[in-house]
Amino acid sequence: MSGDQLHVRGGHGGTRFGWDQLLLAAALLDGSAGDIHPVTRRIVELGVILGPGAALSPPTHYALSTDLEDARRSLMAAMVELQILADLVRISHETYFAADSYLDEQVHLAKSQVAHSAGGHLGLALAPLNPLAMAGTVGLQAGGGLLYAEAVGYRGATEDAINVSPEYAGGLIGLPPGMLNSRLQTADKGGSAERPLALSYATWVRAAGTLTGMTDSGRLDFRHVSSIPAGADTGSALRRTPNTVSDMMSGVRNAYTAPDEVKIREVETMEGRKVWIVDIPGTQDWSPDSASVYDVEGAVGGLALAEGPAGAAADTGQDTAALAEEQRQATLVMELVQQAMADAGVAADEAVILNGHSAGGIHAAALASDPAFLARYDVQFLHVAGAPIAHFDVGSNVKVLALEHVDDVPSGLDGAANPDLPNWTTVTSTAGTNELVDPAARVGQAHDIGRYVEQAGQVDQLGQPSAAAQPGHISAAAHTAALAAVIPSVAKVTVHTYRGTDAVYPRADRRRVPAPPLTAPTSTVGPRIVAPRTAGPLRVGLPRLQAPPSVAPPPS
Amino acid sequence: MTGSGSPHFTGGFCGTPGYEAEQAGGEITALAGTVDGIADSLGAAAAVEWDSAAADIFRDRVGDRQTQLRGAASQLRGAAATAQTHAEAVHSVELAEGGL
Repeated sequence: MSGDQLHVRGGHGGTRFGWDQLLLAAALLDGSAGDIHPVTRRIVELGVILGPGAALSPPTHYALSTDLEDARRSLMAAMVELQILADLVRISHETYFAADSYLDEQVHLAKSQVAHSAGGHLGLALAPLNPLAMAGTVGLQAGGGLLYAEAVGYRGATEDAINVSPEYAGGLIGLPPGMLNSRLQTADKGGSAERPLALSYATWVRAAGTLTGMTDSGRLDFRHVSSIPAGADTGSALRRTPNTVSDMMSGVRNAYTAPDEVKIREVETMEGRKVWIVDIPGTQDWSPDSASVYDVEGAVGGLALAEGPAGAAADTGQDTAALAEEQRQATLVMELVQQAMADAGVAADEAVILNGHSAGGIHAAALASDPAFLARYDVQFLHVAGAPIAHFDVGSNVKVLALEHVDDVPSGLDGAANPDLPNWTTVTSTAGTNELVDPAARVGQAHDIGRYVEQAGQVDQLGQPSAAAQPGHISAAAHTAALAAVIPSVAKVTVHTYRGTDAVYPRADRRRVPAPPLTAPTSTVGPRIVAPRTAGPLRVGLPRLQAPPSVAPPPS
Repeated sequence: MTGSGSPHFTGGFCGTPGYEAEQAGGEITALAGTVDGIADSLGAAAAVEWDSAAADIFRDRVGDRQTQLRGAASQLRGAAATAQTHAEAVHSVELAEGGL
């Protein structure tokens, strides 16, 4: 990996949108071909009508008949070729996506074979309980994995690790190649499962947390903190018209200022309309379950929501209705956001923009995929950074912009690339990949909200007319123009801040485990980031971290 | 055009062969205009905004068909002129026969 650039997938310049446009054009060709047919038929009729004149002036009648026949043949040729072209577009469309799927499946199966072999080798090394062989094999495989991640990026390596994990495990325990893959993977990966493996993993982890008592569905303790003019608390960062992608991500960074908060920007335009911008931060406490709503339980629960209660029921054997209730309770962040929106006074006909970083992006995507939420609010945009949201069925009227980085591990936890859809643009950065830094620092930098704010600014630039020749301009321009159209001017911006804590969790005495994101601070707000000095768990502290004010006593 | 309002042409002109040839000339000119309209409508199909090799090929092919249709329209205008010549020739014969 080298070079600092943006790769844009999906949106108005994306492959899917392009093929959709070609299909529409093919339908136009069908229509044009249909319009030619009556003309050719009338030419034949005119030949019959002119027949009686043949005897009166044979030479001119012959010349006229010849001219008409030549024109008819040209029209017939054009009609047939238009129909052939329209058919070719349809056939090419199907062939392209079939070939794309086939290629993806074959690449996945090849990687799975390698993983099965690697798992088998580790199994052989473990069998004689020879420490030297075990250490050597583990070391070699870890080294190989790191080299692979350096080559394809840590996001791609994470996706691959998730997807080949069944076959690796199969090799390790001596199962035949392909056995676990065929049971755990979906059809596009050569399996028969109905749900993506990454979502099943999230559901299993959640279920394991509940079964072992490490996590509890919890109860939201909701508080309104403040409602103040934008910029009053953070200097000039949020004063100007918030209608760029950079403004969206700056708001999310601002939401990290204090723990356990969600911020809602109430924008009153000069035209008298209101637009609401919801900024959701990511994981702030790396305990399995804690007083913070932004803990691991919330992140995993949010990711599991992508497969819905029915999918989770199939994965765990539990009752669908019970799981629906459990999933609702598991995502206290979604409850926090919805209570905050209701308290702030968001009306059904006012535009809503959802923004989130990391797990905050998961929660934002879960809301933008919830039919009940979409029926209640006019969600027009979803902006996420470093969030694994590929499997969320986001509403088709919601314009999605997902920012990712090739080395951002959390982005890869869905085990899949984001869909290439007309309303969904994914912008992946390679910034910093040519710098020689240790893997932990590289991964940390890639996920940093400050870096994503910078990337958002690059997307804004890419959307400018001056960048028309650059790849990805069409998608970026379509999104940035739509965003600017929603907030063309600003009369007033008020920031509403709400805090949510989990009033019920298994071990209230558990010390808060600070969140990772990582590297040197890139801004004056957001998580305080500390680069690890040695290998080992990353540690990152939040500014002015303090215990939540209202925490229920731990259950006995 | 483009299928939503397909052109319909029916019926004869109920007159002498010379009159019918004259009327046919006018209709052939109208048909040429219809074909030009179809060629114009292909412009919408060629306006696919997609930066890809597939779209480039598609736009080229549609452009070829537009050229082909404009050629057919031109042939029809030539046929209309020939129809006029034919009508005059037939009229001459009709007048000569009437004079007899």
